[in-house]
Amino acid sequence: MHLRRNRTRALGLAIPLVLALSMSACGSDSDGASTKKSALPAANSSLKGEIKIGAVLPLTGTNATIGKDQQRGIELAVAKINEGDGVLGKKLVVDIEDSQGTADAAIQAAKKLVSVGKVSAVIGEYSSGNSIPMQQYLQGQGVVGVNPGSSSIDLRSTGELQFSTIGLDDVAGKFTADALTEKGYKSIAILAPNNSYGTGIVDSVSAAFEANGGKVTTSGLYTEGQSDYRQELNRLKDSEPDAYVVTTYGKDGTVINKEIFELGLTDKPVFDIYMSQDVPDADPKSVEGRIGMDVNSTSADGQAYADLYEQTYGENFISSFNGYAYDAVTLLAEGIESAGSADSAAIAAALPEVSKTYAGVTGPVVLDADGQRSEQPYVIAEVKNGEIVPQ
Amino acid sequence: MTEVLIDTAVRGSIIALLAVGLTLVQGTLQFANIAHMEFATLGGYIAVALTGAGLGLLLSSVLGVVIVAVLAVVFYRLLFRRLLGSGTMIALIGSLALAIIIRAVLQLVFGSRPRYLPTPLERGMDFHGALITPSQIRLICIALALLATLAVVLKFTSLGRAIRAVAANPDLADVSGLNRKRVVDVVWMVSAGLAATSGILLSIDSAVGIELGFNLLLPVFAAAIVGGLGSTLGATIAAYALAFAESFVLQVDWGALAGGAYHLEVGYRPAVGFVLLVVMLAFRPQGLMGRTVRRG
Amino acid sequence: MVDYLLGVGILAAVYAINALSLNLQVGVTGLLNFGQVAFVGIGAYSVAILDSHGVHWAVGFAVGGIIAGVAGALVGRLGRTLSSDYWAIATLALAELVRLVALNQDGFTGGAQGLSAVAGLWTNLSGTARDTATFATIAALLVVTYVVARRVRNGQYGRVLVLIRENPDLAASLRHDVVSAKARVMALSAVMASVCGGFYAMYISFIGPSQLLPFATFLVFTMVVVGGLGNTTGAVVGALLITVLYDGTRFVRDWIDISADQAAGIRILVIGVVLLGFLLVRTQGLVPEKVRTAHARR
Repeated sequence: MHLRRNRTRALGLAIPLVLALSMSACGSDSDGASTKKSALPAANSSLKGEIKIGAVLPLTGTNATIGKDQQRGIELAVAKINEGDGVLGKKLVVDIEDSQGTADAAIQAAKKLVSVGKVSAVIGEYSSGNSIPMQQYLQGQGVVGVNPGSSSIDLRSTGELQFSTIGLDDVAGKFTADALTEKGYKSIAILAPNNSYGTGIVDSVSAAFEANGGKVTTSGLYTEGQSDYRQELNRLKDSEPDAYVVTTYGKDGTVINKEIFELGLTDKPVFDIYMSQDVPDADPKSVEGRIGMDVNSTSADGQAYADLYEQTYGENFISSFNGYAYDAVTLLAEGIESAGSADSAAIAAALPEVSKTYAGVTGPVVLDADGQRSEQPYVIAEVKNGEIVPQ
Repeated sequence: MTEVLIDTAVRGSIIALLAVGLTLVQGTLQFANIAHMEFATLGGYIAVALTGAGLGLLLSSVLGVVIVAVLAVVFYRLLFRRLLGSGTMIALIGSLALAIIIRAVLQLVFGSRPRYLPTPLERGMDFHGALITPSQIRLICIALALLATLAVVLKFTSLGRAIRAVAANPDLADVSGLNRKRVVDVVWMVSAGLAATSGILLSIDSAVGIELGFNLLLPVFAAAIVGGLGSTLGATIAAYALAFAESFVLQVDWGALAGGAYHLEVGYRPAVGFVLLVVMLAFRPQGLMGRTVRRG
Repeated sequence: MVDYLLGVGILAAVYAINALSLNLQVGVTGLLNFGQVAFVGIGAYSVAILDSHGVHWAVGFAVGGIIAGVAGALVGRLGRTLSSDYWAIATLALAELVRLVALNQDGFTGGAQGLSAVAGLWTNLSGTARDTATFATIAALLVVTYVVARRVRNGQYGRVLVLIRENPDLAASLRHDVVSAKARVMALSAVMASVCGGFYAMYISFIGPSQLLPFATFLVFTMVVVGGLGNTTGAVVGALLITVLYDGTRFVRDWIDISADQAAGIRILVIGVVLLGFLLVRTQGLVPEKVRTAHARR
């Protein structure tokens, strides 16, 4: 009797598992190697030994698309380096960990890389709210950190071992505000996610736009992961600006863009900051004709890189963030090469010097005194027939 | 103000469909099923999978509701009956575990990005100064029709009377010779079916994500508790009232009271439900239309 | 590797304190607190906010403990007219409220960005020596918490709490002040949880609203259930096992080839299945409580 009871109980437990397995058999079209078109080049067989660096990326969670794209940039850079002479005659290995899109998981992942993997440098993350604490942790451990995706100005003060290969929001905010003023808008309403990226971009755009003599009618911060953003959007609409300025991450962006269309906000100009973050995920009809700004990843080296990306993955860039990850890896590799060792302090000392002559796929990456990218080419673009086309 | 009313009608309908089911199960089995909200998420994802397999939206939705209803009975027979044997506290934690498992399985199968049902993107129609989309009108109509049908069934059919008898007093219903087992099965099917409908309607209106059900957990519980234990009418009224309160506090210019302009952060919207819930529990735990709550 | 093991050890000890606290509420008294993470958050934010204003961490711990203790007592009193399942939902709502405030009051809590660069312990040491010292500190803290929890459980007060769980009406008729007893056990548990939260913020050097999600509470529930509801030693055992299991599944992608999205799903699935499995097959947990065993035999 007792045994039988236990067995039926165990049966009850088995159901969710069986369900999981049977369902994953029919619905596993998520991501993975299926989209790859041509294989990455094989590593140069003369390379002996390994040099290991780490990366912490949002492979799951809200920004999983960006994380996947950053991973692609890293893969391409590693393949390119190892196809050639490697680093210090050794094969470069980048150990990629998932940040789950949260700060504590990002720090835990960095801890694993530092203590188990003994890496001397870690690339990551994407959200400022994760990159900042992670860089602060890395600084405390004496490990080099390179930010390939976050733009909060707080990253300036994370320490002398910490760098960014992407321009921060003070640069982006000024560019956006000038573009808005130039288009003749007198007043704007801003919507951004309620996180450190969002608050940073709202502050920097507002400050620069008001300095240009414009007016910010309202600025809303939305909570990520909701199923409905009509309240937020109606507030923007009710403030009756000349143009709406929005910046969203992919997951929420799809719903927000849909509701922007449904609520008729598209009757006025909608200006999208970092448009490649959300336009590719949106219903094409909802974002048709939208204008916006994004980082310019079409430098001279950039075009060859874009072609390589398309050959390898069978599609165009899914975000603009793969290039910064690519540059982070390549810049680090050159730093290690120039330092002559994989020692963190030596790499950090070499990076600013190396960056002066480095020609990145996202353009020149000259690091300033704070270790931040000082030049960042941006571009104004428009959505035409579902594609982002530079104006 | 029309904006507030449309918002109330849409969100209230979603919450009401879930809250009536929750309150029915709570009434018949005397335990709060935290996994109830996951039936909505499951419904949305199953509809996504079926439309992905080439079925039409209507057929996929109906099948989604049926599949979830059947799954719910399976869950009840294999899990909850045993868990309830160890006490309501164990069952409550168990329903939490099931909710976690369902969410993890959905994430495994569908990934963590939201999915969409193939509905055309439609511009909202002007309705007294506010915009409402055709899919929202459908959502409200379907929800109201289902809630009305449920009320009629509960009130006028023998099955409905049996359900109400069990919900009102399970011990007495046992004595009076009702087939309690059958009634409980039906209650699970109906409540899970309504939950799945709610999830599918919400998926059509916006999107289905892993957190769809969990984000509704507290508002739905608030509506069920405020409405009163086992009272479907109370839950329905409370659901719309809660939705109205949520929308209203965001529209009001609180700053005007003090001379300035201040609107509450939209991020605080869920807090309306929490506060209502806690205040209600502290001062009137039997709810608007309920009997006294057991102590335990 | 030593560093990593120390890291897991520190995490396990933090969780063990958390589990001891939750066990006093859920296991001993039968108070289903689904909002445990709020107490942890109060402790963590107190230390972090005061630290960002240059106040010593000891003050942060004291302030956090007081706030959490008062909050715990109030939540315990809220329970006086509620059935236990409604009370559980109410605690979940309160914890979400705390998270929303942490998320939206950015001037105070750093908003979504949280508060980073919280000064750690043993800042004069570095590397393995620092991790070892940190581990020794948290281990000592765990021992103290364990002794307190055990004394409470096995003393006269603990017997009253168990009676409240098993038969509240009898407890009331025996002239025990049920409301006050509940409020006191909630206050004590809340203080324990806030200490564990403060320590966590210092160790990881960061606290943000994303750490106050309900899943953090459910993880601790799994620990208490696996260890054995009501058993003090069980709570520690459960915390150790689940920490190793949960952190160990971080490595799952090193063994099998699946996408990261699926790996994240598997980690959560494992926790859910373990929790449900124990509830179904071994409700009393690995280290059963004596009272419960007696009941089962009766």
